[in-house]
Amino acid sequence: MEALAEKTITKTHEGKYLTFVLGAEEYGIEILKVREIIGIMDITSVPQTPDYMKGVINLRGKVIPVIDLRLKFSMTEQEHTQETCTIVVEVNDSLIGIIVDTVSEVVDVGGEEIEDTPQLGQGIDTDFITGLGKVKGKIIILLDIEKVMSTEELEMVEEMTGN
Amino acid sequence: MSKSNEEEQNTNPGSDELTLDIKEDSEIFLEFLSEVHDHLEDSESNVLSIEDDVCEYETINSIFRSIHSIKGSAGFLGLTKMQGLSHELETLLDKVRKDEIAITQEIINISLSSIDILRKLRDNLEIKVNTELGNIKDSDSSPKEQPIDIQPLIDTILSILSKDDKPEEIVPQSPSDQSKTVDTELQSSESPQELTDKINNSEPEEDLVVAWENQESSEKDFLGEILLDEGTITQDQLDKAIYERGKKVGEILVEGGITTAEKIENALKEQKPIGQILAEKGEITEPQLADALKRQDRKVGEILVDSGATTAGNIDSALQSQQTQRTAKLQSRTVKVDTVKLDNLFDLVGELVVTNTLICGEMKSAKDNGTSKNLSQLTKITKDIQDQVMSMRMVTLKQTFQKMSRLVRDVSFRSGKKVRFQISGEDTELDKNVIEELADPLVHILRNSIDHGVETGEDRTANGKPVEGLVKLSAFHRGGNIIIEIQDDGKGLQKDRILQKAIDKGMVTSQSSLTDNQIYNLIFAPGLSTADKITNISGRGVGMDVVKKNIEKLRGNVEVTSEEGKGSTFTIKLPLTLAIIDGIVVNVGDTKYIIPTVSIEESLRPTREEVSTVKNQGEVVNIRGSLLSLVRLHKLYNIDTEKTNPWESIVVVVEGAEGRYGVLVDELLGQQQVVIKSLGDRFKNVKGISGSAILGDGRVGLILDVSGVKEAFAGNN
Repeated sequence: MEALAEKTITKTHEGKYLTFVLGAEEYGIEILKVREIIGIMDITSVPQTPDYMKGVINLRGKVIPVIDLRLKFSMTEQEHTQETCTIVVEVNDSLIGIIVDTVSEVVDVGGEEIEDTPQLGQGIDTDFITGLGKVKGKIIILLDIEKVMSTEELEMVEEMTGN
Repeated sequence: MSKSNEEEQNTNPGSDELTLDIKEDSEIFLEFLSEVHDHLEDSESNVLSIEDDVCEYETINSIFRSIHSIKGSAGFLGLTKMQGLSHELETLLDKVRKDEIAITQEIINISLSSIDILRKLRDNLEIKVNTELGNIKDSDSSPKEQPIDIQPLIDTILSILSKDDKPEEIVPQSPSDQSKTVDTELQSSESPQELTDKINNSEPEEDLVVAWENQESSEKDFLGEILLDEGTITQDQLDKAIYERGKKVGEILVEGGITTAEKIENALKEQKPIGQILAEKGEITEPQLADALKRQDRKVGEILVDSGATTAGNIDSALQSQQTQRTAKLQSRTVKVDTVKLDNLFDLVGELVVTNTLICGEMKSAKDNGTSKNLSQLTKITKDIQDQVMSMRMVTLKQTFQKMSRLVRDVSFRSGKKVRFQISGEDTELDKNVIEELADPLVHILRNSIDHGVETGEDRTANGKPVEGLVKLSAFHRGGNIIIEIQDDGKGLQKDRILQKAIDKGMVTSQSSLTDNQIYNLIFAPGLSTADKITNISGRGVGMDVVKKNIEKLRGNVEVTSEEGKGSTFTIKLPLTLAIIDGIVVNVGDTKYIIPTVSIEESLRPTREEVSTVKNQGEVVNIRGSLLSLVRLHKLYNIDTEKTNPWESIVVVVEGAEGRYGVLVDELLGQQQVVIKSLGDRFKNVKGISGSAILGDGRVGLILDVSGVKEAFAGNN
């Protein structure tokens, strides 16, 4: 009974994922959430925002926010290279850009290839990880991008009130 | 839908059983909502125009059509309440249309309250649709569906209808029929068409004729008007044709010189109607003649009914659809477009302009004559497209003004004052967003004008004024702005009382010398109401300050001038559009900011002596004797810059909600008109930034909100 329930949960996460690299790790975002991939553009920084909120860019006449996922995941910031990309995703009807090291490929992740996120010890937040995908011998961390963004909003509010 | 099903729903009007699923057919529902909204707006303004002027057949007919359409669509969707109420209203209007009931104040009032209720029903459906579609999250702040009881209104309408049904008892076949009609109406259980048929069948013949004749005459007017509109004929030709039509055969003969007036005169004396001649010859009897004469006057529809070819109801609905088609032809020149699409188009055009500028910049060095000519052509076209797209967002003030006339009517009715309401310039166009935000301030000001400004009838006569108060609402262009004026001929503002109140509340000191205008404009300060008693219309001292705030949010301003005993005038100045502002582009480090030109007073580079610190923390700058606090933008927003000394950079003196202060920036880069883009919810907590704009180089600049900057600055210290 329990096994059945588990299966239905993991089943819902199977599908196509866009994978990208952050440091030594590979991550995946549901392809349906991705709008486009662009190079690094001129970013206008917005004051009074957390450091991972890099600012706003002009995406063909639309002003959209851009976050640096490295900083968001508390990694060290890195100089932008030729390979650095902005993935534009649609979260709750609004567009947001995510800066990643490199975009790799689109992979099909089947339900049986997804494993639940194991406990990683205290203090490590796994809320926005929907599971770990094992594809072609690699481990892909599958992100729930909406959750990533919503925690970001909460933090921002806290930071503001802390001021 | 089967009859029994409908009956069941009607006996339990509390539950609307939707025939369609909101999620699956969301488009149908959204379309219905906007359609009903338009119909109600139209009907309301038409009802109001009936109240003002002579009641015209066409006006009533168009209200009838609107309500009829609402009824039809509501029935299709299974919205029983909306259908029920619009049905009763339709029945009432139908009688008015056929001159069976004279238009009275009562009927106008009922029509208006029915429209109000229909609007509420529509709003409920809108909330329901939005909730279903997930546009509204369940929370306390989100609007809730209001329970609405339509029964009292329906009862009132029915009572008017039944009152009117009484004369029908004179008609022999009526009594049984009539009681049946009332019964069916009370139950509202029959399909609208059947009901209409029944009512029509029980009508006295004369009324039917009157209705048709009305129809006929309006058609005739129509033809001439249509030809005139199309430019096929001129007014002169039309007049001549109408004149010709009235001529007798004799007149034409005389004019043609075929005979003389005398001969005609004699012939006319001898001439007898054909019927009379026949009767004299004994071919027919007098009753037969009378009958024939009666037939002669009849319309084709009536003859069809008599011969049993069709029913009066069918004829009626045929005539109605004939009318609808005619008006539909006139209205089909407009297309409804979703505002989101317009906004997208607007964004893209903005981007086109930016790209165009960039290319022009790159090509300038090319020195190719042909290319530069083509480029300037492209620039011109791009500009034209931008203007066109901008104008698409513009809407006339008509609807807003019409809403106001309804308000004035209601308020003056409640306060028992007679008020004449004059509107001018309702064709003035403004950005859609501005118009949406404008309604509330206008409501406040108009309420105040009627409640506080216009005196009671006795007072007015005592002061030698006409009993009827006059409130004027006008809109016009002046110097790149739209001006909206609200003028009343009431008692005006009482200077001394306002000043006294302000002193009592500690807003000004008794020593301060204020000009008359400054005193009048004190009424926009929070918490100041000069009304002696609080009525349910106004007088709580909130309102005018809200008006000022709302108008300022639209980047406009509001002022009042007044003359005691003669009335007051409120002047609202608004920018043409919310989408564009004039701004000065400045930079701090790498970041570019835009300061709205309206809030800038001057900019200067102070000398080292003019800047001094207070307690080694706060800084003030001495500008021609007045000390202003200095906000260092780079410090406030943590931006790296090399220019940290005020005497090496620029101080921009701005005026915010709490007075003047100086903003320290690196450089002024120039003045520019920019298209405002919202930064979205994500940045709504950032103080001092009201939005963003795309600058000439394609980068994003942030628009400073000078009041917000001051707040952030005060918070930081």
